[in-house]
Amino acid sequence: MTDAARPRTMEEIDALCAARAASPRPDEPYPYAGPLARHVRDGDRRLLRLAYDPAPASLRLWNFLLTEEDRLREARAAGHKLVGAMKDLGTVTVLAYAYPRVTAFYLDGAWWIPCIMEMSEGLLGVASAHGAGEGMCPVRAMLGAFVTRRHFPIPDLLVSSVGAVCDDLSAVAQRLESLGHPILWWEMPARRAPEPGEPAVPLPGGLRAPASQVALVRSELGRVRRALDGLAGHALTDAELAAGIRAANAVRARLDALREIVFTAPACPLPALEHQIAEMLVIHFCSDRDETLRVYDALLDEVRARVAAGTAVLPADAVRVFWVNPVADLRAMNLLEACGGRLCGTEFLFCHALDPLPEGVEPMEALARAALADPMVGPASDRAARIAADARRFGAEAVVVSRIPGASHCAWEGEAIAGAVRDRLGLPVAEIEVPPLTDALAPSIRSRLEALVETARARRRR
Amino acid sequence: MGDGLRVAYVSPFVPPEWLEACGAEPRRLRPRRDARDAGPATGACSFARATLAAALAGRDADAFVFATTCDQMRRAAEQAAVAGARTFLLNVPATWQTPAALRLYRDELERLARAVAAWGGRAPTPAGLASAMRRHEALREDILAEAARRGPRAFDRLFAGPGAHEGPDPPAGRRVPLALVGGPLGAQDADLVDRIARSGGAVVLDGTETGARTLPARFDRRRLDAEPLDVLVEAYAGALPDVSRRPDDPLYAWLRREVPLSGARGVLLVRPVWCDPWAAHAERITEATGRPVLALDLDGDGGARPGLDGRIEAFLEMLR
Repeated sequence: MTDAARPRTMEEIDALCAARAASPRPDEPYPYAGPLARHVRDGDRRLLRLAYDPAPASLRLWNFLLTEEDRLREARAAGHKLVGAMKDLGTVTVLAYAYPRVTAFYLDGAWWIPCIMEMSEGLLGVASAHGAGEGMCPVRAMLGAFVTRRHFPIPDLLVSSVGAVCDDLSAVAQRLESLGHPILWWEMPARRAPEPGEPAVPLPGGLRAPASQVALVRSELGRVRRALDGLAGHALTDAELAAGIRAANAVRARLDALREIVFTAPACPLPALEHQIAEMLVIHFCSDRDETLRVYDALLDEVRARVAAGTAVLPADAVRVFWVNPVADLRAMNLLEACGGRLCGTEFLFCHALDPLPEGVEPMEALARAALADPMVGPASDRAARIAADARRFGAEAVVVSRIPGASHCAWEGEAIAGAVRDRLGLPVAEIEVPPLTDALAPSIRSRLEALVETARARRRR
Repeated sequence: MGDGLRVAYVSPFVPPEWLEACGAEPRRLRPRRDARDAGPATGACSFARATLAAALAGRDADAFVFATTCDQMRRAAEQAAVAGARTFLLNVPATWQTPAALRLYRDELERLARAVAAWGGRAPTPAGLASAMRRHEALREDILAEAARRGPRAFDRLFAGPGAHEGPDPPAGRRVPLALVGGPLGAQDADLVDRIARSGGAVVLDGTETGARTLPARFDRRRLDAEPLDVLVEAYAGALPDVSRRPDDPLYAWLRREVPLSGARGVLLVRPVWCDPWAAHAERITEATGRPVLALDLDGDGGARPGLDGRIEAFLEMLR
């Protein structure tokens, strides 16, 4: 690891950027640029406790992420219709972005607000006051954000999948509707294996599903499309939707390339924290699909340059860890690296949003197939099989299954995933729970991660 | 009853009429929760764990039908199948307002029929189904009439298995009328009605998942013989006011209608620990019914968490 690539504090990052801006060769200007300190002034206090990659591309990523609220307000001011997508990781957003003057965003993403603002915003307390208490997943912060109306503009249309989804989100969304925010619910059946002789179709990710289930999802997405037609005042054509799918695939292809380089490079070229955030952009393009592409291009340029130069952001012997589930506290990613690990494969619950949408079929069929490939919709065994296959492909030496506190699925899935990884790959697995703020639990999380890293190192010596 | 094939289930969306028409003996269970139950101990719904334990034990049935009405039950079904239990996972639509939702449910019933046939049952006939529907509807009407006379214990007759018919009738006397609303009661929760009675209350409406609320709508007798499966689908998937439906308007329409009709002065909202679907309802039920609500988490061998009696007594005191 060179000094140029070592992790920095937020103050160091801002000083570095100021120095670069004043230098004879300043960084190329980009949208949403500015010092990170301005976000702290807006309440994003967690930024003060994170360690950052100093690359300009990474700073661009952060600024893009942290300015989404401004972007949404500007979109509305410019006459765009806003669509809030819930329990939707990369389907309705693809559909919505195919329309002119429609901006969609991922409301469940509000679950990071308590972390980013270090609970100062009180969203979880507001959610509790409306019945969504501590026994539920931090996604309940979304309810608080609707009540306080301080974190994003209230969308013109709310859309939520329902059926084979997590109970927490479904309960929170229903509570939201009861507070006067109507929701368009669309049915997502529990994906099952086709029965012998039953017509079946392939799904992204190497899965198969009964043709009848795909047809159902397609008809449900048709209801969403008609609602969007009405909202946008525009009857979307299949050609427009196909173009939207191609654009989404362009984004996914870049992320795929980034993952491939980051996970397979001999020495790690991008820290875990920035990598996780980069993956999150793919779900809904952070409300600006074009800038998402440019952010990915900049990151790709950076990691390619680092790999070519042999520059690493971590020691060369860092243990290669596959991480399962997103973390409510972003700092957990820093913690992994502080314990001697590096990210080498992820499954943040939206692997279907990483796979290219099928382009050889009708566009609504493509969306339906992709939606049914959602790992949450199918059995944990399907998800575990993909995790094991990806962990093998990326050469993981250990796996972390990160539990989301209160999430209905985590209690059941963790065991299945850990078992599959142990049985198929013989890798050490640690299950940890990451709350929105890990500070109080950091010592115990750290010791679990250190033990995992030590175990993986010991296996190297065998 | 057909050929001794016993098919167990816990969800009200599994129609016993259909299982019977498919040549099986339907056995709706109310499993007893136990801290030693299979499945993850932390964060997992105690009722889903108890159901998984019942499916794995295999004492009460030859096969088990799970329903997708909640995430945790879906996961429990997976674990039961992985462990080798003979299971079927019925996809129950959460939406109810579209023809597609009813079609999904109908398709799933037909898939279930094929599974039951493969287990040793038979293909259902319209006449056989209509006959089973008449019998079960008569039973339900009888139970409802009995419940009006002697309270929620009448619903025990809907269930098979150990613990479903225990306990004496509550003692007579002047009592505070209460509605019991919420998730499923386990076998040991029969004790809850006694606790309420001992504290001076009387359950006049059982709106739990194992009570009156989740009985199917009355069958359309005019169409029963001609198209029994359509009538069955409408009565279950089209009308059941379950907490899993989206939107949950039917649940609240039921509460607005039935709670005032019952004369209940307060509502006890019960749910198994870690049951998410019944979280965030207390305030809404108060708004919908105009009655105060006491929310209780059910768990453990005694059917309730420590301090339950005191909380019920305080609630009744407030209502007197």
